[in-house]
Amino acid sequence: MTGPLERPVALAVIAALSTALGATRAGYAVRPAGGGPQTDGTFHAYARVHPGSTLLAGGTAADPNADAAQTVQVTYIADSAEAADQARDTGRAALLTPGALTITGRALVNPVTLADTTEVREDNDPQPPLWFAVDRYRIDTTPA
Amino acid sequence: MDVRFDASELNALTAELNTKAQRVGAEAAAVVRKGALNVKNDARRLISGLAHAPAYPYSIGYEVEGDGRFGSISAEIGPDKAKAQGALGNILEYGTVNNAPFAHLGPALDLEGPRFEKALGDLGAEVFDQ
Repeated sequence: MTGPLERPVALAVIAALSTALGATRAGYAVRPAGGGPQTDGTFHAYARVHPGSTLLAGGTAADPNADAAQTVQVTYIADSAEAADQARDTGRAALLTPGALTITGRALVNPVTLADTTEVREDNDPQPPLWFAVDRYRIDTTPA
Repeated sequence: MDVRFDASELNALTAELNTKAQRVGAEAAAVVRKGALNVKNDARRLISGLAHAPAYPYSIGYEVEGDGRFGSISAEIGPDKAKAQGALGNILEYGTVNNAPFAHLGPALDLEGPRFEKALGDLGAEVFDQ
């Protein structure tokens, strides 16, 4: 039996965020093509999606590793605190909407929940400085 | 009509519950201490091996407040900023604009959750079975 996979969950989160934030505004652990500084001088807020830990949560005798509790981190990045929080608020609302996630080969056991969150913070390493806010979501699935 | 309420049995039950509560308190404290130790060890294990943060795992510790006799006990687990590389905790756990996260404290807590819940459940069943 194949255990729960990371990539389909991350791709489902990226798809939901792309609908909410805009196409090419969510990347798989990288800055997406449509995010960051633009040629017209504006900055497009974006999200980086990082697959996190997977806990096996049981299953059947035939497939004891069927169920999983997975964590996905979304880092929202913008050129101001307000824009980062706005992106986060938009993304959070989308991901917590029942039925928003379609995961290939898996079905949600419970609604997606917000497992952890940080305050919006400034990062001075990039110049000019950028702001980022982190949400972690818990996604409980079973084979579809 | 005269209504009489015999509280003698209730008092006995209350006394018994108080006694058991004290015992649960002491043993629950042990469960909390063990849980904190497990989270610390798991967090250290999960974050070990980073070439640029070799000392960081050793900054992770835990503190326990209370001992169960006073009805509350809490544990705080995390890096000590006063220790070498301890200030890297937030950066490693959540990442930054250009750095991916190395989540270790959250996952360590997730690993311990079911064990902690089971230990407390077993403790309650054991005490009240007696």
